[in-house]
Amino acid sequence: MKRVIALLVIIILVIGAVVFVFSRTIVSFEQKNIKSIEITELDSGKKVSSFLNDSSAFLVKNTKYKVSYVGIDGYANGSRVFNSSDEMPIKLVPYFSKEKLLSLLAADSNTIHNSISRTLPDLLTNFSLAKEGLLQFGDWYVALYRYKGGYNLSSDSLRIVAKKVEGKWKPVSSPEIFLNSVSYPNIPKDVLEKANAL
Amino acid sequence: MDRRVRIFVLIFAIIFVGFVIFGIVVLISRIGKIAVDIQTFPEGAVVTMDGKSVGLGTQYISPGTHSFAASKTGWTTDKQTYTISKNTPKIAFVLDTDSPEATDYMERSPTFQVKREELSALRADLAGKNFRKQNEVVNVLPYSDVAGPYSIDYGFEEGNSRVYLIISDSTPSGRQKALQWLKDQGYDPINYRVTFPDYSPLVRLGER
Repeated sequence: MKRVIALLVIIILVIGAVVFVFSRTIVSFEQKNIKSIEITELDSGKKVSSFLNDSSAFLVKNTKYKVSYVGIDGYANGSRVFNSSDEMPIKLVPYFSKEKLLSLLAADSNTIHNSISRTLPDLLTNFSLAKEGLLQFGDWYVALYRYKGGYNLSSDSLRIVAKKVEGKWKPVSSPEIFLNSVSYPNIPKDVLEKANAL
Repeated sequence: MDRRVRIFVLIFAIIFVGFVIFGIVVLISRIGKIAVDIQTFPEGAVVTMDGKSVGLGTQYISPGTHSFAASKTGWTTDKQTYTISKNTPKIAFVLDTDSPEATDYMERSPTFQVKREELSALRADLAGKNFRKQNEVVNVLPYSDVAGPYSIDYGFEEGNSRVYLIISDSTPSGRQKALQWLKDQGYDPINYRVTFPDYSPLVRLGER
């Protein structure tokens, strides 16, 4: 009888181990300029502690998680949602911090403004710069221009995106009321979102 | 216990555990996936999903949008993009004849023609559902707000099954309210080309 019970216990343990191992997968992260990461289940918000080491974890298959990261000095904190069955490794690349982007803008603003006024001379005649900012690694510029004249049916504020390529700034969008990812597929969506939110 | 009985019980236990483990592994591999019946006309075409070969009949597929292609020697290739969800129990591919052998096959039996029409109807139905899935915003359009003021409608992009948005009868503040209304309905206008026919641009960036 004891042997039968022992056999049953072994069977249950083996099945349990198989279920555990096969229902999980190793998720690895490619990290650069990151101090620490934290993973939470997207639906429940429960913190995951099954880290194998600093850059991989043993997670339930086909489940959505959120990885939050803290950047090293000069880099921003951020987060990314991923599915544990996505292609590995999951790249975590923090952008520059707000402070670093502000200092880069201060250094680059004249060059950017000159490039915009050279490409779009009419813009500064009719519009004045209201808001601006650098994004990501200081290589994307977004700005909002307000109409200088009186109110009319086309006195909308306009948004523009510029990009730094090989050290030179160049507008990559027309001045638009609203920027969309269909007309500008080469501009990252988060850059368009920031431009529209100015 | 007799030695033979013990060996029998042990072998039975091993086989049982093997079956249970196999069943569990199969079940786990299907977690989060959807059973989809894949059918082709003619039968036996090779179907690929996102470039990888998949079988015919019931297959377990991750939900989401996938690019499929069905091909068979002597027949044209049928390329389709299907959004797999719980509402997609069956997908179909219909290949056209591209050789005398394929034409002979079609003429061999009237039941082939019936089967082809059945699957073509299913494919057309899926294409319609796919269009609405890809362009869910059409479910809330057209919409007008006289207080805005704005009107939002949609048109069809050339060469693909996407729609673009038309915001008209509006003012500068009305246009912003129209964009906000779309967001409030759960449709981010950033994913659509948005046109403002009443707006006369004062500046344009050369030719893009």
